[in-house]
Parts: sequence; structure tokens; C-alpha cells
Amino acid sequence: MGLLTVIKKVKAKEKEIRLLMVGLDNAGKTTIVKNLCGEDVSKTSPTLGFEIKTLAHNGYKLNIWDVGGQTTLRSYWRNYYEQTEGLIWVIDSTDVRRLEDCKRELHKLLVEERLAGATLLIFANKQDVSGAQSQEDLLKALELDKMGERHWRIVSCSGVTGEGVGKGLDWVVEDIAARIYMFNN
Amino acid sequence: MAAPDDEDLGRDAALVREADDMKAIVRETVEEAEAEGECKTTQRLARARVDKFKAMIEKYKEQSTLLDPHLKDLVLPLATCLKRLSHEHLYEPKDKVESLTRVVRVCRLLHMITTVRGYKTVKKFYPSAPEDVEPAFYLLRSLKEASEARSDAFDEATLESFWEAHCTLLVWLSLLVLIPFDLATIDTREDQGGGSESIVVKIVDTCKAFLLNAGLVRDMAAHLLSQLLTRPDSPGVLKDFLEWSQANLSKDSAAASASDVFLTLGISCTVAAIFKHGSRLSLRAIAPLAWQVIELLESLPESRSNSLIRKLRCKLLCRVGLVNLKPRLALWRYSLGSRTTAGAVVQQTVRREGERGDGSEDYAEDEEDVEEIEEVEELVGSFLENLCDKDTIVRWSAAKGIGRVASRLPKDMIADIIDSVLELFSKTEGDGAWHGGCLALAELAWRGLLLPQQLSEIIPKVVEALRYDVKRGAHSVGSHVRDAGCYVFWAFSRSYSSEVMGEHLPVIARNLLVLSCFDREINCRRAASAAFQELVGRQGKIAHGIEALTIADYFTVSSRKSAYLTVAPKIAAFDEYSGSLAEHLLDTKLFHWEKVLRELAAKALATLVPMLGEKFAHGALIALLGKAGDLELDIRHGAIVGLSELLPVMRESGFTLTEAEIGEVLKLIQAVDDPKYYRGKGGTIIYEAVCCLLDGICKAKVDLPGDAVGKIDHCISFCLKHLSTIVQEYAVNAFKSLCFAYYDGMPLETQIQRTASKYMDLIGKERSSLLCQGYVLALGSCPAKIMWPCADEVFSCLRRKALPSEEADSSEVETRVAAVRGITSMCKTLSSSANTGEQRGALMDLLYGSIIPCLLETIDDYTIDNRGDIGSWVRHESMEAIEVSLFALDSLLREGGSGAPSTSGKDNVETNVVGALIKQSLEKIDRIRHAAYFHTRRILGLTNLEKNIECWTQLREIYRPGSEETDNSNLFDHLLAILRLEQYRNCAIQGLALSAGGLGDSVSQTAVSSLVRSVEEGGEGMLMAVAWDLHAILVKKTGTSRVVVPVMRTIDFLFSKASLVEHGDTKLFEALLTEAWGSTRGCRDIVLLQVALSLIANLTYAKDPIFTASFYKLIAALINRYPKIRRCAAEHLYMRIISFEEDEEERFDVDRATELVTEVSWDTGAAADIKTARLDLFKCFGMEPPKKIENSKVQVAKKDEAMTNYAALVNSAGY
Repeated sequence: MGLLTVIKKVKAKEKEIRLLMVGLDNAGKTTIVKNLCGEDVSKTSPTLGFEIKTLAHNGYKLNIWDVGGQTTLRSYWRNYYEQTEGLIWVIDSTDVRRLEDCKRELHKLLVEERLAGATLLIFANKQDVSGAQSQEDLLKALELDKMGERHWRIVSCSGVTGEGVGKGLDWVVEDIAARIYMFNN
Repeated sequence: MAAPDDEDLGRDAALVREADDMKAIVRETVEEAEAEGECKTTQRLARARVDKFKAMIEKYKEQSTLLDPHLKDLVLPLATCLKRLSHEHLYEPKDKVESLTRVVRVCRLLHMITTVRGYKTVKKFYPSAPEDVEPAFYLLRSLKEASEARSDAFDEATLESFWEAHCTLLVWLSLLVLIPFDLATIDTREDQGGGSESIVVKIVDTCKAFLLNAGLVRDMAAHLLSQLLTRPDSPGVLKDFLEWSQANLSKDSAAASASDVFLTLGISCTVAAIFKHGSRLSLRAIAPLAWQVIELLESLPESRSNSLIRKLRCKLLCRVGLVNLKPRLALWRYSLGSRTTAGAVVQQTVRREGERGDGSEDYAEDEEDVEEIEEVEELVGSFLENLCDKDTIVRWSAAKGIGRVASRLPKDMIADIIDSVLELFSKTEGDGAWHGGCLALAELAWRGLLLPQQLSEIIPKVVEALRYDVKRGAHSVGSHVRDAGCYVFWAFSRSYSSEVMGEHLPVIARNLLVLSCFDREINCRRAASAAFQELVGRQGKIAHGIEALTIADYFTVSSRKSAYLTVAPKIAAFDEYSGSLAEHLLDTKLFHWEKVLRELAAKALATLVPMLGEKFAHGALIALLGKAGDLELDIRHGAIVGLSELLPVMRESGFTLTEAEIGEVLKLIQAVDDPKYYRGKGGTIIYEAVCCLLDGICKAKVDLPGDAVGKIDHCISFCLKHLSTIVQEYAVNAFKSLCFAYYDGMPLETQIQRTASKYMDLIGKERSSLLCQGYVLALGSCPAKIMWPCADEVFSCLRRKALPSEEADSSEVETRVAAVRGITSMCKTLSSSANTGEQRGALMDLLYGSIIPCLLETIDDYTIDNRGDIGSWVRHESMEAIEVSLFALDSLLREGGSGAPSTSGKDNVETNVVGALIKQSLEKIDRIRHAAYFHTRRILGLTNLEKNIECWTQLREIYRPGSEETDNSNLFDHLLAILRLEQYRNCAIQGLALSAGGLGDSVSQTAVSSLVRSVEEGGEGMLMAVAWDLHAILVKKTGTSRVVVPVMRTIDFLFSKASLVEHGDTKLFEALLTEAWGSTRGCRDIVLLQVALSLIANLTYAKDPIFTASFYKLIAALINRYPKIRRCAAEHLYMRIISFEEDEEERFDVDRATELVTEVSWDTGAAADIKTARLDLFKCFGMEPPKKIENSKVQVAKKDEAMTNYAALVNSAGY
């Protein structure tokens, strides 16, 4: 019995889930995380680094990896101890100009075979701002239907007001838990 | 799974593709098991179905949770069916064999699902009505009896699978016995099976028997027992069971048999499970009994050798120990505040490990003392002892035990425990103790039991564990300790806030990065990188943390080389880390026990030096110079290799050496010039290192006095004589650097004298050609300036060594390889420096006149010795040389050279070269084939040779880069288009015959099928052409069985697979017969004889006159001197006779012939009998026996006088 087996067991017992929070800069990732943690969202500055936050949610222990402003994400996909179980891709719904960029980056990420099993949640963020695209429009613009057999969902939300955030998180946790922890009571 | 709601867009794809297929199999099985009457499905069909199911479900072993959505549909029908079958079995029994077979089939599937998904999960779908208890149990008992009887009535598959049915039923019963009624109330048929005990006792007895089992059945029985015995209504039975256990364990050990070990394991498993499931208060009463069991376990002699027993004992210790300790709510525990999505930061409620199911548990107050201090101390002492166990599973168990017990103890006692754990981290303790210590620390941190103020004491110990690497014999131990050390830091990063960890962060970060760059093992590098990532993500405040984690991630550290040479320099760009990285190399890794690692470390050090600056470089230089004379081989080697990398990089970075340092370097040169320096075990690696060092000194152009240069030269010559090719290669490198650095400025005469002339002289003088390898290589790699004036002499010297000769001083294969390599580098040097027209002309003459003809000879080297086809080394090297020489030719022609001397004519040099390569590209060694293919392709890319190579365009077409060119099976197919090019067909056939006629391996098969295919496509003409080509080889190579045997085999294939008999003509057959018969005369090579005989036998199928001629020869072979051949001939005859046509049967006395062929023992019979029988055979076919029959020697006649010889012969003939 190696160390890894033990760690895997401990993880299962604690019902841990690892979520990777990604998206273009200024999409509002940190704001969403702060909102989830109940912190003050009014003064968020661009994230320079990356931060792991642990949250308890519906009996699960979420390790949210907020990876802001990183040029390369590869390093965060997996490590010796864990893999990414869920991806949360945050879109700035008001930034029409960079939708093309956003699409390219997202698809680039999704072809990565090492993320193949991960559930994908797309937050159409900043819905509280006027001029925000609807999720149907985003769906078309991002060509989400070309994604193959992945589990995914797009959810409108606002990191500032917190609307939709909980709902999205509920889905992603449930989807992952259905895969991983269904009967591990 | 959440139902997709209207407003959100998304997709939930199915993850288990095979779900429907699996369900279908389940359905089929259930239907069949419930069908009326005889079971229709055959055993084979059922097995195929089960195998299919197994193949599908086993894919999910790694991520079995994916099955969960389908689990209900898979398990429920089977479980319900099982229930029905069990009731039927008990209440309306039918044919026992039939019904049990059905049960087993159903259980097999259930068991497969259970192994993949785990019994705890699968169990939930089993029926759990009280009325099932009895049917399930009696079914289990019937199965048990049936499997013990092993009656023949059951088919094989069922007999094999009884254990799976046992497991399944035990699991089901373990659910059933939890029914909330008194089991006595459902106990209806006490008289069944004769016994009058209660059902509980019956179950216990059956399980006790299962505990003897060696496999999974035992564990399941233990599980069932634990569920049954912890029922509140069965304390008496529990006590009985423990007493029984005790009695069994304390049996006289002398009488112990192998199965007792299994029983011991079974008992320990059961007791451990009981103490897991039972409630603390009810177990207290029987704890003393359990302690006795533990003591007995310890005293067992097997426990020392059986780690499983020790592990179970440790588990029991923990569980029984906890029974005596109250759970405790310790508010002092350190706990990182945990957030919830509700938004509030709350203090995490203390996890209550091992909390019992009933809510009536009382908790101890934090400051309340433990009553049984002595007992606890003993318990903890026992755990500490187990932490040092030699087996990991025991250490893990102990670490967990410590964690669990500690969480129920007051603060000051925990502090004592931590102190004792830290004492494990000492030099005198073994690796097991270090590993166990790390595990215990991680476990305690995980539970928040290490207090922040203890960290400053703990962290240095863990850092030490990260560096744990102890040499033991030829390897070292400690990777598991380092791995566990990373785990501790990973756990720390998650458990403590950055305020607490603050001051320790830089130390931890530095050490983790060193480990992720430089550890020997991939798992440690990855673990360190993951721990570092966690540290950065959780703690923040790490200098350049994010950059560093991006550089050294899971993927980049996987390859050791890239970790050392790519990742480490990038990390060292950050000032915080460069120092510790370089120091680690200089202190540890340069002197690591593994040579590869030392060499890597030296290279890595060189990449770090520019970043660390001049001061560090000088310090490192002095340190390494000091160690270059160390007595220990590893250290000396590491230091020299380090120096050889350090010196050039110092020069490149512009760090000048001080006089004192040059003095030290000089001293070192003096030292290595002494042969004594290389003495001792492992001298070869010192040779390598010294060559590297000399190379480094030359590259660095250290300011040396003349006599030191002489010493270097002498030293290089000395190393060139070494037999290791690596040493030679390094020495040649050093030689080249020497020429470039110190000789370049001298007068040309002196240069030649010191290099080319010197080595030609040495080669001439050296008696043993093996020792010339290095000289030859060095000679070939003289710089251009030296090479031009004496090119002809150099080449003829090399040529002498490259060709095998009949003379006594003929060179060895290794030397020939070196010589060809020398020619290659000579070609390269000359070609790249041919600047004047005169030089170009000279080179052209040399290439056409000497070099290429010489290479055409070397590529035909087929030397064989006990190492196999060692000539292939020369051929391989020759192909490389040929490519280089043709490239040289191409560039000469491009420069407008005067054209080739033999541009026209069939026999031009280039065409011959391509032919030789084609031959190689179809031969039987895979490596050679591919090399030849790629060489040819590259040569065909040389446009200036177009008019010199025949069929250039067609060849280009064949060798066009295709997608499947590297696939060996296709290479034959791909290249056989060459058969259509008449100029090259013969070459191709020569190569192909060697592959096709080789021993019956895969190469031969592919070659033959390709040959047959292309012959079919090419029509009759092609077949004849190929056959004649093969014949021509037979004629040319008569007596060379290396060639003749495969060629004959290939012809054989043409007969058997391409029906040569029908297409060939008499002329060809005559020619073949002559060759075949000719090769058998006086032949003592059994294999050749067999092949030739088989060829003759093939010819007997042709029409007259070939038939008569060959048939005659076949009969003649019946008195061959070798029994095996005689038998072989008889077999061929028999085969031929039974395939006679009707008219032939009339012509000959076939019946008599058949009788003779089959009845006479041709191999072992007496000589006289054989001779008479043969004469009779001749008569049967109306043939005249050969006249000189009397002279023929059948060795059986000499049997008595040379019994021993005969035995040897029989042996060699393969009997």
C-alpha cells in the first residue's frame, strides 16, 4: 500500500473536491470566490497569484484553486496528490470584444486530454451590468455545442450580487459528487 | 444527478458506455436462472458471457464510482434472483446440482460487480427481509458442502467459482443479520441438517470454517461475524467466540500447519472488525479478552515474518485501546478556520474519530485526566515500536493508531507523544523509523494535534527527512522517507495558517524545490512539486512562488534529465533558490552513489554557475579539486566529472583562474598521468572521468606550461588503449579539443608528428588489434589541417584495420567498427574543408578510388561468433560511412567537380552502393533494416547524384517518405517494388532471402508473405526471375551455409506458397536439384541437410524427368549417416507416396513402398535392415540402386564401437 492509496482514501473520506477557477483576466473569478467565502467583494484588485481556498459546501469539502492572470495553466491541472475534478470557466458577459479570445482559450483548455474527465461549469458573469450578453448568445459565440461528451453547464451569475453563484456551484458539486462520491456515506 | 432545468443550458453525457450491454447480460443471466426445466445454456456460452461482462466492468476498477448511476439496475435483478433461488432451494428443493449451478452463475456476476465497486456499496441493493435469513444461510451451507465434496456432477466453471458464491452469500448475510428483531424469532427449522443449535451458532460455526480460507472468503466471513457478534442480543456468543479464538491461537506452535496462519489472520480480522463495529460501552466488557488475543498474536512465531499479522495486531491495539478511552472535545487543538458557503467563518467542529454509533456516548472534559495512564503509555509505546516496523503497512497502521489515540488524550500527554515521535528522527534509527515518524507527524497535523509552537522543533526534523538517503550496498534507501517528508509538508500547508507557518516558509520552500529538481526518484520529485504548489496556494507569501511552481510542475519534473538541466536552471534564476540548489549539487548529488546522477549533477552545476557568479565558481573549483584525490571511488569520480564541466563554463563566463588554482589543476594533471590513479575497483569510470576532465581543461584553454600539455597528450593516448567504447569516445573528444586548444598554433610538421604520424605509428606497432580501436578513432578524427597532407596514408592505415583478412593479425570486429567510424569522420573532415579545386579533385579521387570501394567491402561483413551476428555492427557503421561519403560526393559535384571517373556503365560505384543498401534494408535484423532504409532515403535526396544512380526516379518513388515507413511489417511490402527494377532485383533478393529463410519468427513470416504477394502481382515472369536469382546465389555461395540455408528455405516457400511447381520449367528444376543434391554431399550440417532434403522433396512433385531424378535422390538419402536425416527422408517419401495420382499408383508398387516407408525404423534400425529396405524401395519404383552402395557408411553399423560418439551425435542431431 503506497502513500498515494492512503491519500486517495483520506480524500474520499473527507469528501474533497478540487475545482479549478479559470478564465480570461478581469472576468471576475476572485470576486466570485470572495462572494462564496462571504468576504467583501467591493475591493477586488487583479489577482496576481493563485490561491487555494477550502470551503464546506453541502457536506463536501471544496478546494477551490483560484488561478488568476496566469499565462500557463498546465501546472495546475494535476499534481502528485490530486487531479482537477471540476473546471469553472468564468466569462465577462459584457466584454463582447474579447469573446473570440475567450472561445479560443476555452477550447484550447478543453482539448487537453488530461482534463478529459473534469466537469465544466461556465459562469456567465456580470449579469448585473447592463449590456451583458445572455447565456444563449454566449453559447453560440463560444461554440459550446462542439464539446463532445463532457458534462457541462452554463449558468448566468453576478459575482457582485451573488446571484446565480450558489446555483452554479450546486450543480458542479452535484455532478462531480454523482461521479465520485455517490454512495460514500 | 441534477435534472437539467429549463433555464440552464448544458449536457450530462453518459459516462459508462457499456452500461446497456452489461445490463443485457444481467438480464439474460437472470432469465436463464429462473427458467423452467433444464438449463439450456452450455457451459462454454455461459463462460463467454461472464468473460465479456468481466472485460467490460473491469475497465472501471480505477474509477468505480462511475458505475454508481447504473448500479441499481445491475445489482437489483441479480440480488432478487438470488433471493428467489435461495427460497426455492430451501422450501421446494429440486435437482441440487442444477439449482446450485444456477446460483453460482448469478453469484459470479454479483461478485464481479462487488470486486469492482466494493462490497459496502453493493450490499445496499441486496434484499434485507427477515424471512431471507434462513434461505440465505442454508444456501450458503449447501454451497459449502458442495464445494468441499467437489462432486463430478458440477461442470468445471462452477467448481472454480464456488468461492465467488461463498463471498456473495456471506456479504448478503452480513446485511441480513442486522435485522432489528431477535434472531431467535425467525429461527424456524432448528432440526435442518441435524443440528439443534440456534441459527446464530450455526452461522458462527460455518464462518469459523471459512476463516481458515486463504482468500477473500476469509475476509467476508470476518465481516459477517463482526456484524453478527456485535448485535446487542448476542454478547454470550461473542464471548464464546473470543474464547475460541484464544484457544486456537494458543495451540501448540509445534503442531501448527500452514492453514493455521490463515486461521490466525482470519481471527485477527474478525476481532478487529468486531471492535470497529461494536459500541464502545458494550465492548468494554470483553476488552480484557481482546487484550489477551493481542498478546497471543505478539507471541506467535509467525508474527515476526508475517507483516499482515503485525498489521492486524496494530489495528487491534488501536481499536481495543480506544475502547478504554473516552472521546474528548479538545478546544486547544489547532484548527484552521474553515469556511462554508453560507458565508460565515466558523470554528471547525472537532472531528470525533472513532465515534460510536450510539448517541449515549459521554465525552471527557479537556482537562480531565486519563484514568489508565499506564495502559495508555504501554499502548503508545507499542505504537512507537510499530512505527519502526520493516513493513509499510504496519507503520501506517501504527501512525493511524497514534493519531486516533492521541485525539483522546490530554494536551500534555500528546506533547510527550510528539517528543517520542521526534526521537525517531535520529541517525541511529533505520529508514523505517524515519518513514514511520513522518507518517505519524502528518497524521497528527491532519488532526490538528501538533501545536503551532511545536513547529519550530518539528520542521528541521522533516527537512532532514527530505534529505534522507542512505547508501546500502549497491543502492540506497530513503525514497519512501523523502516521499513521506513531502507529504508532511503538504499536510502542514493545508492545516496551518500563513501566520503560523510564516518564519518557516522560506526553508520549506527551498528544500522542496531542491527535491523537485534533483531527487533521484520521479515520485519524490512529483511529491515535492505538489507540496510546493500547495504551499504557495495556501500560504501565499513565498518569494517567486508562482513562477517556481509553474516551472517545476508535475509534468516538467517527470523526466530526471529535464528536471536537472531545464527546470533547475530556470528556478536558479531566482536568487532565493539558486544558492541552495547549487549547494545541494556540490554537497550531495555530485557524490551520489549512482554514476548517471553524478554526471547529470555535473552538467546541472555547469548550467547554474553563470547565475551564481565568480565567487561561487572559485569556491566550487577549490572544493572539487580537493576531492579529486579522494579515496572513495564515487567521490573521486564525481569531483573529476564536476571539474570537467566547471572549467569550460568558467571560461565562457569570463571567470579567470588564479595562479593558485592553475597550480592545483597542474597537480591534478600530474596525478592523472600516473597509471596508479586508475587502479582499483571501478577503474573504468575513472578513465571516463579523466578523459572528460582533460577535454574540459583543453576546452577551457587553461594556461598550461608545455610539459603539462605533453602529459595531457600522453594521458589521452593511454586512455585510448582502453577497451570500453565510452572511454575511447571521451578520449577522442579530448584529443580533438587538445589539437584545437594547444596544437593549433604550432608548425604543421610538429602537429602531424604529434598526431597522425604518432597514431599511425602506434597502430603499426600494436600487436593486439583490439587495443588499436582508440588509436584508429583518434586517427580518423584528426583536424582538417593535419588530415589533408597525409590523407592517403591515413586512409590506407584505416583500411587495413577495417577489412577482415586471412592473416593472423586480422583485426577484431570491434576494431573494424572503430576503423569504419574513423573513415566516417575522416570523410566529414575532408569534405567540410575542401576549399580549393585541388583539394576537391583529390577528395574525389580518394572517394571513388579508395573510400567507397572499401566501404562496399566492409558492408559485406557477416562475421559470427558466440555473441551472434557481430558483423552487423560493422555493416551498421558502414552504412553511416556510405551516407557520409555520398554526401561528400554530392557536395563535390555541386561545386562543379570534374564529374565521376565512371559515370556510365552498368557497374558504376553509386549504383553498387545503393544496391548494397537495398540488400541491407531487407535483411533480418530490424535495426539494420531501418537504418538502411533511412540511409537510402537520404541518399536518394541528393540531387547531384541523380545521373549516377540507375533508376533514380523509380527508387525515389519507392523511398518517398510515407506515413507507415517506420512500421516494420510494412517495410517489406513497401520495398518489394524494387523487385521490378532489374538492376537491383538481385541485391533485394539477396537480402530478402536472409529474412524470409531465417528461423520461423515474425520477420520471416512478414518477409515471406510480402515476397509471395509481390511475386503474385509480378506474374509468372517475376516468379521465374526470383527463382533464378535465388539459384544464382546458391551457385555463388556454395558451401556458405549462412547463406545457403535461408536461400533454400526461401525456395521452399516459393514451392509451398507460390506454387513454383506449376510455374517452373525443367531447366530451373534441374539446376535446383543439382545444387540441392550437391550441397548434401559429405555435408555434416544437419540443418543444411534437412533444408536441402526438403527442397528435393518439393521437386518430386514436378513432372518427369525431374520427378524420377529427385525421387531417386530422396530414396538415396535413406542411408544418410544421420538418423534424423534418414527419418526425414522417409517422411518426405511417405508424404509423396500418399499423394500419388492413380496412374502413378498403377505404375509403381505403391503398397509395398508404403509398407516399407512406414514399417522400417529408419532412424534407429540396424544398418543392414535399412540397406535392404532401401534396395527394396528402389525396386518398387523400378529404379536401379546406385552402384557404390557398399561404400556407403551407415553409422549405425559402428554403433557398438563408438557408443559415446554416437550418443554425442544423437544429441547434436536434436534427438
